[in-house]
Amino acid sequence: MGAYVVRRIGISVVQLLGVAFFAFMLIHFVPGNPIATMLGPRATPREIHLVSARLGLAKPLPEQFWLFLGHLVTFHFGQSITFSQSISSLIAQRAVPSIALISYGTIVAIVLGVPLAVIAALKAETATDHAVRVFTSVSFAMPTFWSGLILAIIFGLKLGWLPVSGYGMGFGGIVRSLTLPAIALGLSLLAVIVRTLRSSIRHTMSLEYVEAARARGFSTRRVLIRHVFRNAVMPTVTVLAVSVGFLIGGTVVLEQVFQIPGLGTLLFEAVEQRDYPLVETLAVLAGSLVVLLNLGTDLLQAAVDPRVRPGAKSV
Amino acid sequence: MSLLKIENLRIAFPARGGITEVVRGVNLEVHEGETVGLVGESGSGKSLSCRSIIRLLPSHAQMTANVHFDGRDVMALSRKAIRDHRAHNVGMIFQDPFSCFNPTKRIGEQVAETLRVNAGMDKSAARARAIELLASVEIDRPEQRYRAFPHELSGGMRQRVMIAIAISAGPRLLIADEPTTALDVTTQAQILKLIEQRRRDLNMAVLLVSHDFGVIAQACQRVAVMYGGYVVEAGPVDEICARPQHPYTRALLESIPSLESAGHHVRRAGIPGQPPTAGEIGPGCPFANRCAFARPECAGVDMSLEVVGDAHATACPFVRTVSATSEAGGA
Amino acid sequence: MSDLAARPLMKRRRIARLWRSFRRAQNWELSTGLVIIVIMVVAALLAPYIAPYHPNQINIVDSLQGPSWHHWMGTDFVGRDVFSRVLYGLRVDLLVVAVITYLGLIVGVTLGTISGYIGGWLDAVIGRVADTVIAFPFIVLVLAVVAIVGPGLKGVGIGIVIVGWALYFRLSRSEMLVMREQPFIMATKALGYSHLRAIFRHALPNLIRTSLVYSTVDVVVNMLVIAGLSYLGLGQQAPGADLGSIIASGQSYLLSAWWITTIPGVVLMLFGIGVSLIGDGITRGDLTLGSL
Repeated sequence: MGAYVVRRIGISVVQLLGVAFFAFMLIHFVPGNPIATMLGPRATPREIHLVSARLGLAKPLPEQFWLFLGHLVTFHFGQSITFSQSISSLIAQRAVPSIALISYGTIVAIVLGVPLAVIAALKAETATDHAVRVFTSVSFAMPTFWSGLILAIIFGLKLGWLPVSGYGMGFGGIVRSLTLPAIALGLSLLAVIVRTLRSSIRHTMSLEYVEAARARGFSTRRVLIRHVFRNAVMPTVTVLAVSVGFLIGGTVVLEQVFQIPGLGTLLFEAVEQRDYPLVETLAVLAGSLVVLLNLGTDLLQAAVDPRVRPGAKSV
Repeated sequence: MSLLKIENLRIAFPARGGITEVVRGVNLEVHEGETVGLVGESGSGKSLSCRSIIRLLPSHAQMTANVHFDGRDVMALSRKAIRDHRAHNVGMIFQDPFSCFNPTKRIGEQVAETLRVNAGMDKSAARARAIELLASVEIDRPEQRYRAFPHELSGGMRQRVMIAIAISAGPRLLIADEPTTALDVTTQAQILKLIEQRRRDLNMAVLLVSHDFGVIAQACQRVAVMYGGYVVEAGPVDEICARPQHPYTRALLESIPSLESAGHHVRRAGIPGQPPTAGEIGPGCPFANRCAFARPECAGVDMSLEVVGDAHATACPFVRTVSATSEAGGA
Repeated sequence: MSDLAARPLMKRRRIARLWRSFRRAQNWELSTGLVIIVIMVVAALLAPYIAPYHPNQINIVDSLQGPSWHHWMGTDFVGRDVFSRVLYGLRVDLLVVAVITYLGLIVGVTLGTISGYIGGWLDAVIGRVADTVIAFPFIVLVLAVVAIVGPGLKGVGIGIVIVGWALYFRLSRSEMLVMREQPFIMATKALGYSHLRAIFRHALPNLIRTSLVYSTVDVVVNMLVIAGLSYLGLGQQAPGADLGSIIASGQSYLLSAWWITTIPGVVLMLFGIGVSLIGDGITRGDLTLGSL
């Protein structure tokens, strides 16, 4: 177990380095000069050169990357060009709303998705199952920003139940202001949860040990909860971790729809203002988050399922 | 007095344009404390028949029968009562002892779970009793093995644990569905011996299901031979081995490699052709198309058993003539 | 008299027969999905002929008109015909999404096939790059590319291709690893065919299927990303229309002119459902984002 953990962490470190390297290199191999784009069409080559030098882009590449890595590891991300503020403090201010929205959206998806998946799996190939499938297909095909807008029309503007923009104060205010975007986000994730969980429950229920448990006289409820669900849930956790990238994407757009001052809005503003250092930092952080979450689920899986642990000895 | 009595068991599944019957009117009786065999090729309906005793069938299966266990009507039991029936009266072990365990739980906990749920024991009592049970199925170092995961044990060891779970409530009947098929020959013999020992100690009856007549002949007093959803022959094992009546039984017996032939490369005749799938079976004898003695009348045979000897019955009405021909042919 | 009695019976029989043939087709997912997508593609291709107005033709007098005989889907805040704009917008989006998705597929499958066949350091390097790309949240990386290239569908397209190839690479590489050991590929080596011939003539047709199936998920995701970025104003630039930018243009008129925002969204949704149905029809099983 210990060896596995060390090995798995090692892989993640390499991945993190890769993420940083890729974000760093992007600027060099994508056509276009961000400094020129940033300064606009009237900038002279001299001005472009000066700004590049100030941002450290004139130094040799390996040295630039080394500095960049050093800044990442020490959390000194430097100054934002447009916000005249340190990137670290900007991110600290904006992180909470985004994390809250992603968590809330995931909770919505789980609360809706788990019962739907269980019902669909227990009533597989019936009308109920098909109805669930159609519903999740529709929710998957809806653009999140569009379903956000439709929710805003109905529950915000027509019915007046919930605010349609901004970020409230206090826990209650935050929950109220994030409810509509969280539902839109949750709906986009629903299909993935329901389909994965449904098929893994179906698979687990077809295994012989479930029949053996029933033969022992265990109640259906006990068999489902203790033996089926526990073993069927792991693929869904993995899929959820993988879907974080997808959720971040939804958040970037939804924060714009509902004018939530989160990291998505910050990224959008940074892209609009061509604040490349800020974009780069945000990209690295987002990539690192995904890498770390994957690490977390893999370790969790090894803890839950003894077969995953390599080196498990025979008694 | 009979412990288990199944009468006119029929099991069917919905299929394209109607239903397909896979068990077609099976009768079976098991007396207190005896070992009864159920033998047949895969698809003959033997596994489903033995599951009907605890009503453990796929949800889309349609089952009609009179099943009485110790005088009680199993078909009339409520959901709660059928669970009690499974928990206390009948234990069951399966063909593949690996897939019968929850792969993520320690085997000892799986034994203990059964005790906690079915016998209402508390955690420490269940643990102590589980270790006793593991010892009783001849697992050495049971305290250590208690903490093992299923994939860490050998096949024979897993089957022992499965037996421990099945007998934990002291059942009156043990259903063993192909318990030795997935095991090597030596382990096979050990497991059969263990089942026999436990049967004697606990005074329970055993219903042993197998495709291997050799296993049945070794372990059982009485046997029912199944083919295509019918019982085609039933009676005492010695009697049937000595004087098989139904052509299918004969073919089955002839296909066992006997001890004398071992090492002499005597190829015993297999049964030609494939067993039919349930959908293909029409009226009449399902074995007719593979039977060496088939005749036109076979298509009209009703498959009820006729007594041919002391507690010995067969579904083939032409046995007299068949035996005559075969003896004439053999001479 | 008998004729009278027979009529409703015949009618009922005909309906029953239709129903049976529908059910016998078994694959209603595939046929329904194909119908939806074919209608959309044809409408987009024929946009110049079908559209009743020029998509950018401003007519202030007729602004914010509801759906009517003249304007099937109403007009927007400067009186442009929403139906015409949706048709042209769909044309742009379908073209872009098809080009970038299948460009990604071609790049990914080619690299994956070669990489899986040859192995060694080349495989290791491309593999690590693919892992890294996959680690990034999709939109974030696309946005980073847009920040360099500048707003517009070009930047969005480049961004999506940079990310999109990686999953196809993974899929086809792992298939190639299995395929490499199979007798018919080994046989081509024994017969002295060149490597290229072994890969492209024999292995590729077999392993591209998985990637094609996955592309039905990918196309929907890409479509939503393109629409999302256009909605943010980083994709299609004014006055050109695409579905995302039409939705954005109606956002200020949600209550007075619901049609501007609602209808393009429904079109996007139908596209997603149609493609997913085709995907379901092909696999008739469960293929999810997570099963990769």
